[in-house]
Amino acid sequence: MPRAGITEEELEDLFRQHVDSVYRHCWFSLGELEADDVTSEVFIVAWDKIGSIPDGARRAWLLSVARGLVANRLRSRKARQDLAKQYAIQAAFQEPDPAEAIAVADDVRSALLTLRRSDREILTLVATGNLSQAELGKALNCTSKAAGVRLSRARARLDQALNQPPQGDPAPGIRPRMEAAR
Amino acid sequence: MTDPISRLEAAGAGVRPPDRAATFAKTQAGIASGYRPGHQTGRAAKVTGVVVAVAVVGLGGYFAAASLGGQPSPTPPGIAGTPTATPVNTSPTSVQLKEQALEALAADNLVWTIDLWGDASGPDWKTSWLTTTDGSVMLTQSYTEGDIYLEDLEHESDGVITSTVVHHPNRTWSTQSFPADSEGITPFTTTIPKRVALLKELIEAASDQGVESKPPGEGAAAWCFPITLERLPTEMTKMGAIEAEICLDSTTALPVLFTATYNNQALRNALLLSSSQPNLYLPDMLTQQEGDCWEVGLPDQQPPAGTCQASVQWSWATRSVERDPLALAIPPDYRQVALEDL
Repeated sequence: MPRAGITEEELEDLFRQHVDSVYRHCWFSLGELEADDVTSEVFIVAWDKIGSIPDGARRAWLLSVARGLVANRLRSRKARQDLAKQYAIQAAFQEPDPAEAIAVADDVRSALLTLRRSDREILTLVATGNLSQAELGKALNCTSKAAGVRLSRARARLDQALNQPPQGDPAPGIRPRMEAAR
Repeated sequence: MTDPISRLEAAGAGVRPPDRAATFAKTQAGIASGYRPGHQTGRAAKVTGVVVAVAVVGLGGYFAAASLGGQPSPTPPGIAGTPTATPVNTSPTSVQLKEQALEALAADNLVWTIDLWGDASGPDWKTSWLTTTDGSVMLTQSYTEGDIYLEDLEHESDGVITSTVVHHPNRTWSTQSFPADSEGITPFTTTIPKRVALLKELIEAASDQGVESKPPGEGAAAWCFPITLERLPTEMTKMGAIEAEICLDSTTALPVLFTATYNNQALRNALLLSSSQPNLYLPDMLTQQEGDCWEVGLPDQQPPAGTCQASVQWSWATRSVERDPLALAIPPDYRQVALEDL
């Protein structure tokens, strides 16, 4: 049996309670094609390791794992895309950004896609996991205060994306470029 | 409903796994098969094969010599409905070396980010080392006399390990990294490109970036300068300094180097470019990736001509750093250094 694992019954309970939040976070971050696989992976990790996590902290822990697995996927994708660019490999490695696969009909999701990955991440963690600031800090592996600051700024950027046309004059202040612009 | 979070919640409100039972069955199948994320073939497997190793050199995404023999499968082997991947390696699923070329110019060092992709559940990584072809072995967080040493090696929760080694041209490296609870990876080798080639690539990459010209908006008097972070966020925690570049948008298109020095002992809440600058907050800086750009607006202020430097200070509230930041001697004009070397 795993070192810090849980029983099958506990896994099933855990899955029932949290699968929607985990899936939703993955869906926002990766799109439908990979969300299901990553959701499964989150609970596979949980099977081995969540036994030592107190009940009250498990949702944040699961979302933290989801975040890491999503990051792995995105990094993997970026590496492949970079390789494809470098070597002009078009067929074997080129793949669309799954985030782009998210239906963009909805204004909110469209706006979300214009944000940096880190902003998308924190916003979807909050929106899909209904995390408190303290839980958010745990999920992001940072302090609660820092999580609050990051959330506040991400929220402001989403708000800006929702309410401003994309080609507006840059306002005074600091503003990140969209990843796609790189 | 104007709150963006609320709108986001609403957008995702109906999102659920298309078939929960199938998702759970997939989870069970993955568990039963021994699949673990970050553990490609299961803990018990002893597999030989090829590990993906990509050496990325600094600016511009230049890919240097790489031992490229496979890619981690995005889908777990053994799970129903997905193809079974050819076993390629044990945990972690892949390793990525990132070489920060700027370091080489500045201090004759290279920073390698050894990116161990684990199962994302926590800091499992305990042991890692670099081995050179001459047989010397660098152990975690140790210091070895001689021409190669590990300057820093730490783990992150996502398995990113950063080490700094003195650069030696054409040296072949191999590395082995073991997470705490599994067998480790198949060693791989990669060759550090010649220094001259490295510099050339760096200069070309920097040249490609150019100086972005963005005239001030009419009436707004806001001058915007792209700032390119030259280091990955993870390095910030180790090196104690970042370097950013402001390419001024001026009529002379004069590049201005901007050096930001990070002091982890300073607990300040803002990054201060100057008294007239707006604040940048650390979390935003930390989440930047190499090559990401920031636009800094300077309301009612003309961009300075010529080369200038500004000190930057910000808080470090999110993570603890075990050691004092290193004092990196980064030349103010690294391009000049590079040209001289060439």
